[in-house]
Amino acid sequence: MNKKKETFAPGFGVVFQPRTYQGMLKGVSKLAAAIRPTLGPLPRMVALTNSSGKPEMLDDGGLIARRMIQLPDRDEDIGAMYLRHLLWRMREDCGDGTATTAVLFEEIVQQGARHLVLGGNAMPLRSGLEKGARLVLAEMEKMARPLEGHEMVARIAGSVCYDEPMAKMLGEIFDTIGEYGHFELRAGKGRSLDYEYVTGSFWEGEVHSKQMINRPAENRAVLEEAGVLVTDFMIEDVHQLVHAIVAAKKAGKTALLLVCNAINDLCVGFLMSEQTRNVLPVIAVKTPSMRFEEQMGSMEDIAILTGGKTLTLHAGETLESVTPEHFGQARLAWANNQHFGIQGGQGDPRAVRRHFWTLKKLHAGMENGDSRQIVRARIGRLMGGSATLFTGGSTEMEINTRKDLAERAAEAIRGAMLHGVLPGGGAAFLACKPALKAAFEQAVDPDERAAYRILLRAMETPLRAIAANAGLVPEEIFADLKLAGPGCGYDVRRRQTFAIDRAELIDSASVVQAAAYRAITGAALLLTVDVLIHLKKPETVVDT
Amino acid sequence: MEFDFSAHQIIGLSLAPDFALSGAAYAATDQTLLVTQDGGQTWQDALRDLRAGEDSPVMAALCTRRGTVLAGVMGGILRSEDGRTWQSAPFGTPLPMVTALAETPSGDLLAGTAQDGVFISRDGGSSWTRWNFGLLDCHVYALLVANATAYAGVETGIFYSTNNGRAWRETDFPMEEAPVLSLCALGDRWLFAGTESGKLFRSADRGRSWQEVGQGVFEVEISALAGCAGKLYAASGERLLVSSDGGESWQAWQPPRTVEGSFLCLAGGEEKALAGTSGGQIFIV
Repeated sequence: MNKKKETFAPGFGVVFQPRTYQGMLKGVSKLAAAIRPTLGPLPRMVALTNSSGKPEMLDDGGLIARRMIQLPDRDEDIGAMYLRHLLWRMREDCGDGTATTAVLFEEIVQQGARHLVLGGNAMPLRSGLEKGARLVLAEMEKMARPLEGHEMVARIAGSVCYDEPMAKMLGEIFDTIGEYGHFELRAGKGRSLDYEYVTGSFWEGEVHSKQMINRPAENRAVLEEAGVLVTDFMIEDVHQLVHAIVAAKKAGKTALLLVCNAINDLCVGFLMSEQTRNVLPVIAVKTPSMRFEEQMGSMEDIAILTGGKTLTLHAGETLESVTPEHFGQARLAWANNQHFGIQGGQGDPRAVRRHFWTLKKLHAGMENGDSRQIVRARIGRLMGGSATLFTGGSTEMEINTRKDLAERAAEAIRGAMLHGVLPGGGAAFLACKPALKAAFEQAVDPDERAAYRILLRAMETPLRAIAANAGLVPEEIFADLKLAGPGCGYDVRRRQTFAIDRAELIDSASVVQAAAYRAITGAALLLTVDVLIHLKKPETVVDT
Repeated sequence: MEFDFSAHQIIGLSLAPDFALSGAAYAATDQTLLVTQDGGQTWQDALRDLRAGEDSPVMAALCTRRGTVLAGVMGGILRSEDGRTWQSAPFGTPLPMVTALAETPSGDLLAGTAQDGVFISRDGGSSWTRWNFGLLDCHVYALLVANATAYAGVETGIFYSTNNGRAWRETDFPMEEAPVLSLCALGDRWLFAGTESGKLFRSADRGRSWQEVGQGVFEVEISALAGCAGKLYAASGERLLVSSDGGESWQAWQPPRTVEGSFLCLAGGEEKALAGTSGGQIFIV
């Protein structure tokens, strides 16, 4: 029996200064250099070889970092993998900003290490850098302005995807569905992009029996003025079902959307019998989601939208517990092989709005992650409609690349709608320099002063990288900016300066702020590393 | 001078954009759509040929900038280019009741309904699509377009849209004071909202925040509001009140004859306003 065993020999692979910095900095620089070409509106591609032998063309810093799984030198590897993790988290949470994070991070680490090698102290330096990070965030907060109108939304999308038709569509879509809107991406049939809106709210959950599809041409089951009963039951007892049907009739319902986890053939047969259909036409659909928490959330949303009450197994309820209060009402209910939805839920609009506020508050207080996405999707479903973008392409790879771009652009748009926008092209970083300079002049501690000096230089790095990628000479651009005076940025596409308070070139404030904060605090932490310890590489041993 | 059509309830009024010149206006009643071409002196049944003696309740009327006349009926819109021939534009089942109509700066048309939120038409009213993105409350009682922004008065407050009704956002109108039955703008400066509980609210920031004005003046619901020649008119029960200082102080308008029923609707022009009552009277104010 083969099994992997990790071993560690005392004294083996312990690395001290100056090798610690030398190794880590090399690793950081290698990864940052691989990502730097992708920064800005005129990016360059990075080609990676993969196991199939076909080169993969990438312009997404997060993905490039993700693909670099190991460097041969183990000292370098630690620095590179630290940055890789930071960048991947950035991409996951914000959808964009990885290249900016990488170049900022590298600059701060390089300059910071130089200061420490010359006798600086890592802990006060870290503290100074963190103070500087807060100052940068505060300056950006002051600069942020709201994102309004489809053209501005399209510009934010364009700053991520560099695909004008896609940016235009995303601009219109998000101007319609809003920051919490329910947005789906699907592979298109043709080569081009297309989009559609669906009014009302819908959930994943198929109709339990195809016999219930009453509009075959549309492949849909539709009920008008339908009662809605929301459960997580597995319905297997016809007698209990009869009780629910009778209760629905008593509650004045003329049709019923029955939401349940499962229903057996016998019960479907009963519902589809002519006698039952004459009494009460019923569509039975699958309760959304398999995860308990998500399912309970969806059930609660449907109940509030329609003005009903949920029936749940964990509360010990059965279909025999049904009372008139359990039935909600919708102007229209529909279902197909994948989804079901409602239009015109007749729930108390005050309760709906309060529920909306509760979910928004919950969302605002949550860390990024799956649970936050779920809450956002729930808010989106209350908003009265959703949008789907169909990404076409000639090959599957092209379709997937465009889907990925659209997904990242959508994340950046949502962030910009919630937190506003900042002048783009590295101008937001440059605009933080006066505040950093003032802090530098006031600081007394030499390490704190060094931190501000490092940040003052680092704030220029994004524009330097953007300019170099666009084939321009950064020094010439900085000369132009000096001539233009304070409050100006540089647009490398138009090759001219612009006033940042009227900037058409914009970036999502949440992305820029996250990039700045994560790069500075991440670099500050890395600079406190003094010793590296390498475990012995895993070896395969034969266990007899 | 008023027109007496005592068997009708006058539910809605709409002035033609060139009302001061042409004198054209429309009145929605619980039986038909009335039209005047002389500034409200005389009225005729605009749907006489269409309804053939049957009642055809019209809940809202609108004369667009292009001169198209729209009448909101149960389940859809009646539309006419010339005021004589009418086309039907149904909304589809289940049938909603149209409560308000408005035209956006881009020429898109909005129809508010009592059950299904807002329907939008981008082809001059020939076809309509249900469109409620962001509208968390689909019980619409009033629509207003002012300063390139659309407003919807609903059961729980007021929503606004800055993109011609494509998406709606909440305002901070106090939910406990709603429903909002009436909305109007007075110049570029103020917006007003009248509630079912008889309170008047004013906004000076394009509808984002609202403050109560004219406290204690209104005893019953404010069913209609209109601005005319710098004055604000409010219909509340049997009284029509007028304010010259942006809703701070009010005086009762003195009708030339006894008011039958209560005031239900108002429409304000550049110089004149019209007021309709549940007793079938239309006053020129």
